[in-house]
Amino acid sequence: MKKLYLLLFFTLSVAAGFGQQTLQVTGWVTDLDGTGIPGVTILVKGTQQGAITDLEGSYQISVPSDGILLFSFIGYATQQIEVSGQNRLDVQLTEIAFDMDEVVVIGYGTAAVKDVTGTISVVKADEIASQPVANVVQALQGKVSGIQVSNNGAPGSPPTIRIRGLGTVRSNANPLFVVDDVFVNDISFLSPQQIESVTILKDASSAAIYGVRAANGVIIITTKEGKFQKPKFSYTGYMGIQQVSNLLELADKDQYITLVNEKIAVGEDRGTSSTPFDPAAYPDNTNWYSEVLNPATIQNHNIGITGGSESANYYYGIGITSQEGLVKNNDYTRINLRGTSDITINKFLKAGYGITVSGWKSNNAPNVLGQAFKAPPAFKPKVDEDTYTDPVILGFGNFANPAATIEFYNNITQGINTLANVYAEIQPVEDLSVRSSFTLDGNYSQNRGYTPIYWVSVTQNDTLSHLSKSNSQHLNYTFDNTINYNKIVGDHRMNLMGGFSMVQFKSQGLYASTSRVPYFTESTLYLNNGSIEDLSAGDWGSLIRSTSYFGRLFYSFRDRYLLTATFRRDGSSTFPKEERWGNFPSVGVGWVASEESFLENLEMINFLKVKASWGLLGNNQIPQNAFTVTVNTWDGYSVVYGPYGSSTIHQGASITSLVEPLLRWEIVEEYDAGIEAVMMDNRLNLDLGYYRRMTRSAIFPVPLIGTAGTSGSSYLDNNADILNTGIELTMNWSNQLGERLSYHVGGNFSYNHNEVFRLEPGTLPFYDANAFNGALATYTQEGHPIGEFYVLEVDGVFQSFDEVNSYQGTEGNPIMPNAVPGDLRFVDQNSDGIIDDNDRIPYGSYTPKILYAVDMGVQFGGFDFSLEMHGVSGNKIYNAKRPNRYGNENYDADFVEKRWHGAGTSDSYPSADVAGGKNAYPSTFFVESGAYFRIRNIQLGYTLPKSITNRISSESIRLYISAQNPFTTFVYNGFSPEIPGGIPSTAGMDYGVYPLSRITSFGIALNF
Amino acid sequence: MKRYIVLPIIFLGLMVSCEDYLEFPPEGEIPKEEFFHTREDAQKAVNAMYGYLRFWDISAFSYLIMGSLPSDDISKGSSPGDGSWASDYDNFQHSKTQAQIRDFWTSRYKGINLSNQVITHVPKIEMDGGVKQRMIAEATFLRAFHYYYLVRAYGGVPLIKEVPAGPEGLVRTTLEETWDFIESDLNNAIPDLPETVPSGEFGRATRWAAKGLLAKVLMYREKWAECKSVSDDIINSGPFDLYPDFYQLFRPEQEFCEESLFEIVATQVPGEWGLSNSQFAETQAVRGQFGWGWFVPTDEMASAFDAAGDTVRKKVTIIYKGDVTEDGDVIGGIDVMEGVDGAPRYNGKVYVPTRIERISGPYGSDQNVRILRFADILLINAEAAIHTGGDAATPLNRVRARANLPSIGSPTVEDIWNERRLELAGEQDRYWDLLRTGRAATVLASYGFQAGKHEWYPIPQNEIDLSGDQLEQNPGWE
Repeated sequence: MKKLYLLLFFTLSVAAGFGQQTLQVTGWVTDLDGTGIPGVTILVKGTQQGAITDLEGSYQISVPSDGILLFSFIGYATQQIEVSGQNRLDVQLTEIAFDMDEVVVIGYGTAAVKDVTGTISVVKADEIASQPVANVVQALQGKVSGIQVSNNGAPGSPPTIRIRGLGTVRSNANPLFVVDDVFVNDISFLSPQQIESVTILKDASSAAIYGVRAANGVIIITTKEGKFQKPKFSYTGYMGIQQVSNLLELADKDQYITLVNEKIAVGEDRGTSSTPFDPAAYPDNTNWYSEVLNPATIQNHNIGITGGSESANYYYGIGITSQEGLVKNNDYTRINLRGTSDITINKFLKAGYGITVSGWKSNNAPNVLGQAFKAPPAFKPKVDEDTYTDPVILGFGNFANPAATIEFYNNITQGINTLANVYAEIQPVEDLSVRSSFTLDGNYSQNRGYTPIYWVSVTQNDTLSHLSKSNSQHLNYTFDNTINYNKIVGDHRMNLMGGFSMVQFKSQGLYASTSRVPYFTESTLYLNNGSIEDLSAGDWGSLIRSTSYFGRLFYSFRDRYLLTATFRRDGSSTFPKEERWGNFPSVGVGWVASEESFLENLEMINFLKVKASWGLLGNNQIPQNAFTVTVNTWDGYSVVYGPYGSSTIHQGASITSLVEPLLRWEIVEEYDAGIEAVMMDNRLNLDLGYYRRMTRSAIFPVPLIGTAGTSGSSYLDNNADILNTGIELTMNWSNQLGERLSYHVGGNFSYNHNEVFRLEPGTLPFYDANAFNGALATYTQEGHPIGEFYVLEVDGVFQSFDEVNSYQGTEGNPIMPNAVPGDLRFVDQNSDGIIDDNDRIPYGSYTPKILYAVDMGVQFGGFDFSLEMHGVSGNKIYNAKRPNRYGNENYDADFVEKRWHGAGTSDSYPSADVAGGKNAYPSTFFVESGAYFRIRNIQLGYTLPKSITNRISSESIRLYISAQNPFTTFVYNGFSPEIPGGIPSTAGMDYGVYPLSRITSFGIALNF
Repeated sequence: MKRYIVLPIIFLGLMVSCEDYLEFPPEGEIPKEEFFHTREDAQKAVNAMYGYLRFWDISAFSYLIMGSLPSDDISKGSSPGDGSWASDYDNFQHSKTQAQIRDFWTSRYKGINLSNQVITHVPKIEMDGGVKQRMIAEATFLRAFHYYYLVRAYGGVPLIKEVPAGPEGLVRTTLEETWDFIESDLNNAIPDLPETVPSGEFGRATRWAAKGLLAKVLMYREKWAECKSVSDDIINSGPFDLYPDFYQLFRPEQEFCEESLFEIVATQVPGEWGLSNSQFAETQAVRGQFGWGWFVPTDEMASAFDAAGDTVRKKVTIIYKGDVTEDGDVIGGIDVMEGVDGAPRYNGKVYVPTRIERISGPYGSDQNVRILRFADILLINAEAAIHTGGDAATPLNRVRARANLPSIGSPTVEDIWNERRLELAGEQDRYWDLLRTGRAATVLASYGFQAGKHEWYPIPQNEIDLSGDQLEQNPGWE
């Protein structure tokens, strides 16, 4: 945008002063608040003559005395004023809600919204900055159609994001992040407050410029830069309290012992006898979630200084984010520094730099939520001040004491991330610019884990103390070179862009551990202080390089007919030499119907565009080195010969993979069509789209016959097609009622259908996702969604032995002969008289069918109020917490209430013996709806009147209170229906997620 | 202005060098082409065969489940509800789609692959002939060892003799062909294996290990005359004797003692978790105290000891909650055990005293898997003697004497079978022995054994699918 604008500046200022019979007009352009707007374009209608307002908003222009002036600025309605001989014209511009002239960032360039033929969404700084989130992706939830964000409650942990469904089974399914033109795998290091805008390239024609990395969609993040404006100082900050949203209720001690005794009674039916527990013998009643969770604070402070003139602009910022975890002793702190400057040296040369440095530290949380779910409520955390209760001797089983787990867990990750870019841009001739940019992306992080000497129980102790450290670093670079050519000839407007890019990703890591490291303070935690004998170390590394050529042609005829064509040729070292290069073309066309004469005068329609596009994308984020058969040197293959006490290691190594797969990237082919409209006097914006996205040659595991003797049971091949198809609708209504009152209402809706469309002959569907003890819960097969839950159907609960015996196959044999009353009854789908994997049925997947969001806002005088809501539906979660029982684990309250405990008590929930018999087999009982509806954010703000702020030389002061995630409703029996992580074929397995927080915060935004 | 033209020229220049830019060896890995060139490579591949024997599938779960649960002597154990699916093996409810059925199959073929890597590639490496022959002989012995497990479980199986495996992996051979191949592998290995190895190489196969396995194979094949002569040779010419103290025999210090023919060597090494990992003892160890508490002795086993008046071996083989071991450990752990009435009990032969410090790896990582010991050879010899009219009493009574049991003057084959049960209890021998001797259908009928079906495990259904239905299913499992 800046580039385009400067271009205009030069051409226009040169052109000024050539008018005839002229009048010298001066004036001041302001917004509704009376603040001068720098950079407004003033054009003499019907000519190329023009001027631009200066930093104060003033301008000067020579106009024919009967001329007409056009005042235009991005985001404001263009004003047309007749000079009529006046030599002073002060103008007030009004903002418009939906400005089709607005310039948005696209890959390697920018474009006006009206010219875009693909499907992109933009989320701007002000929609992100006031949300109390540490990671910008969290702020995208519900903002954009077609995007599923699954939050991770642990501070500093990135959420999982999926754009337009799920197009891969074994490769990385995350979108590509492009931060200021550089490919980045994780954006956790960025501060949301230092981000100017986020552009999401959803369809293939917009993303194809990123070729082999773009198959999962592209998220372009533009960080803050200087602007043509007076120096400005701003502070934003918020402080808030986080509380657990939707706490999962567990059984209390009496309920627990009741159920455990019921389980023992069921065990009698199975032929196992043991003594019931006496509730009176256990006086304690502990809610373990209360013991491990606590309310936590979150705060964020940011300072930014920005400004610019004709020759240079700058932005400097510093920010700090500090978030405690809901789990005790868990926190995350990050400091962000950013400095950037662009300098226009002369007419031909411009250069600049941008540096983002971020340092962070995280006191990690142990995996205690699963423990707290399982631990019997019948003991207290501590026996006395110094001694933790030993849960094992109580006789319930080998449970951990969750409070002790927190106490003795000491695990820190800290790191620094630097993104540094320099560029130069030359303009050898008019309309042509050449830009060369080099960026270094460096990261260093260290994890340190320490367990002191302690003893809680025979299964929870460390008699030696252990220290482990691991370092990892990456040093990546991106060298981009682009040529840009713009030309307007009469009705023809065109832009040509060509480029060449070289990228290297190099990472390395080193890890070491030992025992017997004494603890005095944190400062003694060095490997050198521990046992030399136990010291072990290892390292790893990876190197990926790619080179790419790319280009884009944009052509517009009379602003009516639009064509965008892109091409990218990528070479990637991830693939064998013969298969290294891939071509990724795309084309998009648009028809701006509102520019046609037959619609031009229609009052109802301000803008109407119909568009369609096609493109090819690649996904090269496939497993590393998959194409080379390597020697297996894992130390499990080594051996120590000799009698007991020997220690000479004889290194082992051999070849354990026999197939040489020739893997290629996955290719996504997508068709996209849509309508964009602005109607009813710029008050209604509507965006409707359809897509059909097919991943061709998707990587799918091919099972290997066991006799091949390979260490893996499958190899990977490009042998599947995966389809995602859907519609997306976004509507926004925005209206100004008088001077003081404005409001907006908006919403979006997305529907996606996901399926494995086709498998090559010889490829077998596969089970995945460990439900319990190696029993797998998902099955990925042709004609069904990826990672679909595939389970036995429960059609009731055996109420008596009579029912067990009368549940017979066609030959009169009992189908579940070993079942006892209270056991789940599975349907023998194929009527073969036994229950096995052939009786499973498909039962939904974690990928939602429907995403929706509604938001609204009101502004009245200095007050503003906003409300954002969103939801998902049509997805399922496997409640793996329930079947994962090895003994007397605790129960959740819903189970307590609905369980079978005697004939007639339940025909859907089993007895307390959930893991007994075949009850824990993957079945419909454990698959629950993942649908939810959430009020994402409520915010009430007040902007102080100018009369007050001016007195302290402040431009604006806004105070606000906000409630993030104040309300979520769902039927799922867990903390949250958002289950982050997992590879595509195992998504949606809940073994105990970190709870999400409800955040109440107070914030200030100051501008000077 | 012309100077700016330099920039596009630089970047045209860069395009030319692209191919080199993208071509480099994989980071941090050794490509296949760099292996099997030197004697060191060969030795590593040999070591890998032995290292692999400690793996989970070979020495822990599928091995213990399929090798002992269906028998009358061992029950799943552990806490109620813990891995209840495994009780399907106790009750003969296991199915052809069950994971352990496949793990047992694939793990043995993984071992066979490691042998075949040596057998295929090592002959081409230039090195001392004797060393080379020994390595190949070790690989051949271990290949036979893996097939011996396969043939007892599934019957005739696909025979892979070199790498890469071809279509022979899709077709079963007959039972006889598989046994013949095992026998020929052992006979081929014997001459090239060393008579003894220095203590620093304990764990590597000797000629006697191969002969011992051959004797056992011949017993399974009921080639009694050959069996008698091979076992006679071991008894008369080999350096073996019974270790006098039955309790101490199973403690780590007595590994590779005079009674040992072949063991899977397992050793903890500080800081080396992959190398130290062996879960053979851990999975069977006292639950809630040392390990998982699976694969526990049944009351039937206890009764068999009692019926024979055998207190020595019973005390060592079955340890009950509350027992105090000779090493002074009090057996604790859980109070209730699945499928067990009364005190929880464990396999005492894999108990590792707490004086053995746990440095790295799970509990009991120092415990070797005793595969073949001299007592077994004596009983094989006794059984062969009965069928060949030789002296069965002498070898049998040597074994009985150590257990403080009176001699049997003229033993019957049943006496020997019972002695095998008691002597080898908890050593994954009983179930195969019941199948071998044809007693399974009667002894195990009450547990659900169906004659005509359970003589063999099913070929894993998944493997049949992957073979395009070329692999034939065992009778009763179709």
